[in-house]
This record gives sequence, C-alpha cells and structure tokens, in this order.
Amino acid sequence: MLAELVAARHLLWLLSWRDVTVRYRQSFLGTGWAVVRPLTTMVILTYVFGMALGVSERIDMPYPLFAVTGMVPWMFFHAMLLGLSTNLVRNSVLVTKVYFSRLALAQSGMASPMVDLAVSMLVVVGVMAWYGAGSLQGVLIAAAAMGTLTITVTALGVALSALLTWYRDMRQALPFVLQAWMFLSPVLYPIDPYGESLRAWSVWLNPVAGSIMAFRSGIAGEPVDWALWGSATAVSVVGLAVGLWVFSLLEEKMADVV
Amino acid sequence: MTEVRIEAEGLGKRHRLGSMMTWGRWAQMLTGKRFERESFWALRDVTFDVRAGEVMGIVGHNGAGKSTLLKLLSGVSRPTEGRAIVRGKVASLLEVGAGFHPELTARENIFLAAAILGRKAWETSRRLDDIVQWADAERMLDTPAKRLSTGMRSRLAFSVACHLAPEIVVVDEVLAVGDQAFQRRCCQEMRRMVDEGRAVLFVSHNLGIVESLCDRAMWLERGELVRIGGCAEVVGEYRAAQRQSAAVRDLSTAQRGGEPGVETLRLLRRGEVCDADGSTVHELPWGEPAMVRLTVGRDEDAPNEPLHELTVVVSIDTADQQRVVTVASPPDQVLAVGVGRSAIASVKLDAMRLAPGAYTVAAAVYRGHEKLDEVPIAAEFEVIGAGAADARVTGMGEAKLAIDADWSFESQADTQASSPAARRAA
Repeated sequence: MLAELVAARHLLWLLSWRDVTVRYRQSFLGTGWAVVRPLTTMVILTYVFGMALGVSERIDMPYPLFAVTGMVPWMFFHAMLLGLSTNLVRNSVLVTKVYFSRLALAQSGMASPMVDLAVSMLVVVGVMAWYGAGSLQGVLIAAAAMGTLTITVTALGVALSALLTWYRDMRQALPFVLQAWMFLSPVLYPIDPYGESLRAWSVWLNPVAGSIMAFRSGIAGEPVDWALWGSATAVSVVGLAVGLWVFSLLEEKMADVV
Repeated sequence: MTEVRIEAEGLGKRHRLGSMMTWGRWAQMLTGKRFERESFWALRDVTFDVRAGEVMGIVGHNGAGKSTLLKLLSGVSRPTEGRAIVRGKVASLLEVGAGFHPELTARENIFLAAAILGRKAWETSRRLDDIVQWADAERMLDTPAKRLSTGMRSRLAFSVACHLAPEIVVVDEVLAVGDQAFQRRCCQEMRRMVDEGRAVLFVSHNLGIVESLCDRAMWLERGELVRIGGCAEVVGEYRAAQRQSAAVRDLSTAQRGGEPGVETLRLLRRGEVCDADGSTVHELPWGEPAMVRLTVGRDEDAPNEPLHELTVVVSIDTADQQRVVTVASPPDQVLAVGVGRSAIASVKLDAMRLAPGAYTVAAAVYRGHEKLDEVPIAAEFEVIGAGAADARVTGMGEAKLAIDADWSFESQADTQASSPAARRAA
C-alpha cells in the first residue's frame, strides 16, 4: 500500500494541485480568505473570551496572540480532517471505476488546508511582530509543531476516510465530535497539563493539545514543554500506524461498498 | 506466439444483497438472533485468456456479469474466488472522463486524466498535440470543462485514453455516447491501438460493432461463461439464442417514465412485437409489416373512476436512445378500460422502414393531455436486413428511416437543354 503511494506520487501531486486550484477558481478574494478568516475570528474571540469572559486575566500573553495561535492550528486540523476523510466518498466515481492508489486520492484532500495554513501563518507572524514577541527560531518551532499535527490528522483521517466509504454515519458524527474536541483542547482558553483535574490528563492523551501548545510557545517566545510535545508526537505516530492498518483492511472491499 | 496479457482462472465474485449492518441488526444479533445476508454470484468460474494485439468482445444481457468482470480485471474490486493474472497496466477507456473536473480547463483535465492512467506529465506533453487534434479541441484548450459540450468532453476523454493507453484497455459500452461518425472514428482508433500490440476487452450491446471490431468473443449469462471462441460464431450463437427468447414482456414491474416519485396508474401490463402472422418475435425482416401489441388493464381494487377516451402512444427508439418515430391513436378511436378489466391495443406498422439494428418500443397512455402511464421500454426488437444483397438497405448508410420514394431518370440531348432558360427558348 505504501509502495503504491510512492509510485503514485505524481498523481498525488496532480490531484492535490487540482483541489487547490479548483478551490480558488471563480472566487474574488482567493487565498485572501485564509487571511480574513483567522483575523475576524481573532477579533471576535478577543471580545467574547478575552474581554467578556475574562480569560485574558488567566494567561500571561495578550489574548489576541493567544487566540490566533490557538485558532490557526485548530482551523488547520479541522480542515485537514474533513478534507482527508471525505475525499474518497466525494470521488466515489473514481474509486469504483478506475484503479489507482486510493491512499493518494484520500491524501490529496490535505493540500488545500496546507496552502491555507501557509497563508494564515502571515497573520500569525503579523500578530507576533505587532506584540514584539517571538523570533525566527520560534516560528521554526511552530512549523515543526504543525508537522506533528499533520501526523495526527493523517492518522485519524486515513482511518476515517476508509470507514466513511462503509458507513456514512461518520459524516454526521464528525462535526460534533470536532466541536467537543475543540473544547477539550487549549484553543480558546488555557488548560494546565499539570493540574489536578481530569482535563489535565486528557491533554496528555490529546496530541492536538500538545501541538497547539508547542505552536503557541514558539510564536509567543515562551519556553516549550518538550515532554508534552513529545507525548503528542508519540501518540500520533502510533495512531498513524493504526490508521494505515485500518485503511489497508478496508481498502480491499472499498469499491464494492462505497 | 504472442504474449498472454490476461489469464483468468475460475474467476468468481459474490455480492451481498441488501443493506449493510446497522445498529438495529447489531442489536438483533446481541439478543441471539442469527442474521444472514443473502448473497449471489455475479460471476462464477470464468476462465479465459487475452493476448497482446487482440480484441476480446464480451456480450450478454444486462446483469450477466460483464461490468463485474471488467472491475475484477482492472483491480477495482477483488475476486471472491479464482484469480486473474494481469501482465501490464489496465486502463478503463470510458471512465477517463470520470475524473474530469468541471472547473478545470480542458488542458488541465487532459493532464489529470493522463495521470490517472499512470502517465507522467512529460509523456502527456509529448502527445498533447495528437490528443487535441483527434478530439478537434484546439480552440477549447483553455475553456473550463463545464463549458464544453458533452460530445466534446467524451471526445477528449476517449482521445486521452487512446493516445496514452497502457498495455491493456477495457472498454465498457463507450460507444453508446456520440453519433455514428464518432463511433466510426473510435473504432478506427481502437483498431490502431490493437495493431500497436495492446490487448483490448470490449463490452457492447451493439453486436454489429462487436462483430466488426473483435477477434474473439465471450458470451456471459447470469455470471457464467456460456461460450468463448471466434467472434463470428459466438455472436451468431448469442443472436440465435436472443431470437428464441423473444417473449412477451411483463410490464407490471417495469420501470416507469415521467417525473420521478410521481406514481402512475400502472395501466400498461404487457408489451410485445409481432410479425405479420401475429406471433411474438424478436427479429423483424427489413421491409416486412409488424405489429406492436400492448395489454392495458386495471386492478380489481382500483378507484372506480371511469377510464375511457384513452389515447395510446407508441414510439420507437434506437439502441442509443434516439427517437425515430412516434404514433398516437387517432381521436376517433379511443380506448376504454373498466375496473378489473383489461384491453388489448394493437398498432400495425405497415412496413418496417427502419434500418437494420436494435430498437426499443416506448409506450404511454393518455387521457386528454394527462399522462396516466408511461413505460420507456415496453418491448424490444431487432430489424434484420437482407444484408449487402439488398441495395436499398446498404444505400441507407447512417439513416435510420426509409420513406417511400419514386425515382425517375430522364435522359436529355445535351447539358444546355437541362437549364430552364434553354428549355423555354426551345
């Protein structure tokens, strides 16, 4: 299966390129959306969470910086997971008619969120510079944290994409699972991984939390919690192996059931 | 001895019937109820081989397992039993267009379709001119696919597939789209492809094309291989069997036309095509009279609404769904059907003026302008020609319908005399 994916890298590239170009065709703002979205959410979040709910008193950085370093990775995760998991079903015509690496087809759904992330990073770096925080080194750490998040999302998305060809329920479940997940992650407010509560524990098992916190530390120029990041990476890598295994199990009959 | 490209041994595929496991069924199983899903063999014990430089035709009725076989060979689905050794890459000719994205331009789609066939960008660039030229799409290259005509899209898809085809090509009813000129060009192109040493599997309901294109043929029936051998023999036998199985069609469960979801009255019960003697036939000789006979009936428990003054409309369509002719019963001859009764509507078509080929009969029942029932395929038949011996048939070319024509030829003294002015002067 993996050898097949390598052989199909040219196709993966073309399919990814197709997704990216098609997305911004006949659109006035084009990639500008990747700038507008995080900026507006940042403003809204700053008002609701930072000012009205008083989260800004519990953190030691400006809330807009906190919000943008939470929302940009989260939006990336969200878009990647949806793109990756629904790509096989959306292209079911291809799955049932032509044979080629299905893993490549599923993964081509990851391209446009990646482009969006790259553009959104401009906003992140802009906000970072505005507050005079961070450094080039910090940006590199943040980028590496997004690498971990990419592994996390691949692990989950690959398994989900195969499961979706069998059961469409996943599509019903996904939005609300993602919503719950966001509230369990330090996106809008901080979660202390060394606290007493159950939520502190969940942070260690939640690779999204580890990646977001590493991303945030890098951008804000704060010391990185390597242990937490390491745990996130380990969970993701194990998850990736499981995800690929699930995919290979379901791939065989995919064309018959999709 | 040429290379064997496909070797299939005892190939079989079992499909499960019914829906997949649901929560309710899991719950049932937990309470100890055994739950077994019905299954059927879409294909069973099929053994054959295909060599390089050969076209293998596959004939059979709908549901005979033709498409299943192609899916197994192209690797889209896996066989339940047996095995298929395929030496080389397989491309499906029809489905290349499936990857066409409406927002991408023709050029971008060509590259994408070629990549799905496993071609690298440089290989596609090298053949781009040929591909575009064959499809006649030079001026359309930078137009989004959504603005191309259906014909143009299928031409492009076919062209990409033909020019960049790998060693083995499967063609599933590709020629059902497009006009006859397009079909002829496709056939030529496929012949060229085969002459270059490719192996082609060709599925079609159009037996004429199968005969002219294929070297060998196999005949599938209910998933089983009935016959495999030289194309002419297999197609001949298949034709003979079809002729024998000519039967009255039961329309009570047939698919209805009209708006989806709108229940019709299901008045049409049976449909058949008869010859001059009134016996049900499948094949009609060219130029002979024929009759379409329909049984129209109402259930015992139908609402007691009077149904009289009914008009019956019968149309004849070609195999590629082009309407050739429509006849409606005249206003002074109306049909009436009482509750729990039935009636037979027959229409005699004086002489079959249709060109040799396969046709379907569509039937509809109207009350005034209100369509009460419609069946798109109420009967099927084939017009057989006297062959090349009949000059009238050969002269028809691509025409589907012949009309009465009186010819006259007059010889005249000189060319000048043929102009009206010259005649007046004389």
